[in-house]
Amino acid sequence: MGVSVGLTSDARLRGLSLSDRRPALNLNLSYDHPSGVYAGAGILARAGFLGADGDSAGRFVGHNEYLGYSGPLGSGRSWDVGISNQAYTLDYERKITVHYTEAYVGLVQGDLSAHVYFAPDYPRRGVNSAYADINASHRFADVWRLTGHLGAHERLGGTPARDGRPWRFDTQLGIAREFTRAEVDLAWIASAPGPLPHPPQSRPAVVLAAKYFF
Amino acid sequence: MMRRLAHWLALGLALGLCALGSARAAEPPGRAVDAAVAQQVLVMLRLPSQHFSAEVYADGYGSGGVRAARRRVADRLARAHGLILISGWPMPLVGVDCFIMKVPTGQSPADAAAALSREHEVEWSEPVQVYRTQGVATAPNDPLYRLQPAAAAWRLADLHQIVTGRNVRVAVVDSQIDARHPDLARQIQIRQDFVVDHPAGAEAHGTGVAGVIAAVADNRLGIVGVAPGARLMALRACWQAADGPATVCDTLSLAKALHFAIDNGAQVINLSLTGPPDLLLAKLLDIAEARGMVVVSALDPKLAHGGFPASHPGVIAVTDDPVRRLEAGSYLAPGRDVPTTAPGGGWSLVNGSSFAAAHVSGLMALARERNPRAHRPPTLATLRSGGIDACATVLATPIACDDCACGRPANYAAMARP
Repeated sequence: MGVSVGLTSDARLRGLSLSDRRPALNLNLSYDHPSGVYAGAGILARAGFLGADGDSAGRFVGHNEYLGYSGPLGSGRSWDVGISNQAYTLDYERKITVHYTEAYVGLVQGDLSAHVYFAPDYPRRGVNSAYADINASHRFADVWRLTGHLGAHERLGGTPARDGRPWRFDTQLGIAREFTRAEVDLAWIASAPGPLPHPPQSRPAVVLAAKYFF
Repeated sequence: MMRRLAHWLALGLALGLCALGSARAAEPPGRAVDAAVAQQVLVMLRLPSQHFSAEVYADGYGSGGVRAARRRVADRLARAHGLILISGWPMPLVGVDCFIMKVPTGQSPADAAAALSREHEVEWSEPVQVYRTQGVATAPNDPLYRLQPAAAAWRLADLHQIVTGRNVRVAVVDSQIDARHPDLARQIQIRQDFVVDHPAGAEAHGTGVAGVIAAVADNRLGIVGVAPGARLMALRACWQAADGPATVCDTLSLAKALHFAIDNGAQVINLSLTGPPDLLLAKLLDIAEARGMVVVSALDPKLAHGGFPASHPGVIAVTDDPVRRLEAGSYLAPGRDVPTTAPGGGWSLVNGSSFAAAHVSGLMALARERNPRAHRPPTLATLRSGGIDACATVLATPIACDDCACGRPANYAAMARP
């Protein structure tokens, strides 16, 4: 069982800010069974004490859960299948709910992984979503890693997005410094095109995050 | 006048080299290093296959809460067995997270490893082994190409007319290579240091081995590597002992370097060192061989079966001693009075199986250039004398070198076409 707490300058999910581009706290649990079954859960809240921002200070933002199975393919390769649930309420000019359950399948080779996700009835009933991503990390020194992410999201069916584009991309480039029980990450995160012209919640950002592992 | 000066310089050089050549190193000391390393054990905890994580932009094996959980388990095991947890290193290729623990003086590492192996969270545990390089560099000098044993024995100049090991990746798992050496600087593609607690500048053994394999050709300096077109992965897993010329390594540093070499697509892996058999290293060697990588190791006649990893199936074992070659069924290559690169930009004479292994690694790089996608190591052709027929090895022909037109470029080139 792994437990970690983290503080980030901006909690982002697939390029979208979940914390209104403000600092946020998260708590994550993870478990790996020797059989290959794994599970995890996390909660996210705005870190209001850092910047007293009115009535939304310290507010609970949402939670996530996942359950999966990972099997080895030999020589450090593995395959991966599971389901995850993400539920967040974003409080911008109006409330936006990001809530979906998706199934995923993926392949992992060393520090390179690729997954495909399918979420039925998201963003609304009768409209499905597919997402694919590639994550990579490169350890260039004992405690330093470069990290990268590229994801693509597509609406399947239903009415097109407001800008008419079925695709949306998000990317991340970062550097991580590991300590015995902690980690600090600095990353540049961006997504394009957004559902609105340069919406504040998906503007590119440099994010600093720290995690402590119990 | 100039001719006379050149004559005296050559004579002086020859005398200097002879003097150095007779100064063979005795058994290396480094006992203090052995004692520190010998009181440690490696503990392997199962590493789950990497998988999805809901933590946004999660990443590799070396991070995250699950890794911290394994460290917590290691911490608990260390306390329960009266040991001190030093550090850990994930080995995803083998499927384990490897932790190193210090065993208190007076307690046997073998007993501690056996007790830890009985814990249900532990895949296996083993004492940290010490490995020694098989050769010692002597004082710097200014050698010439014609003094290289392989220049005549393997007809290097002729071989280089058809292959130079161009762009073949050779991992040199050794001590620190002098990356600024004028005969090596352009040859090193990647440098990584996997040694903890023994920081060092350029070291003699690694620099010498690297020179034999891939020193730059035609630069009017020093020597010519067996595969001057190869690209070196300089992976420091060994260190020069503070109390003498001995160069030593331990299980974890070697495992880290091997893991890196495999993960980064080395085509030839040179291990100019020997020691006792080890399960973790054996698993990594099996993975390297399954991926078609060529692993070359030095042989130590004082150890059973020539020592490990030379004794491991699939590893090409090399010695510089013709008598030992017959006993151990290994290969014989030049390893005596070999001029090679030395730290600080100079050159020196070296002796030992380490450098014989380096010659064969260079030869394997030449053969790999001709057949880069082969899944099996090139076959080493041998002469009646017991030595290696470099020409026949590179051309993958059973015909002896004298019969396959070594030294006649036109014929050679014609034969060279696969």
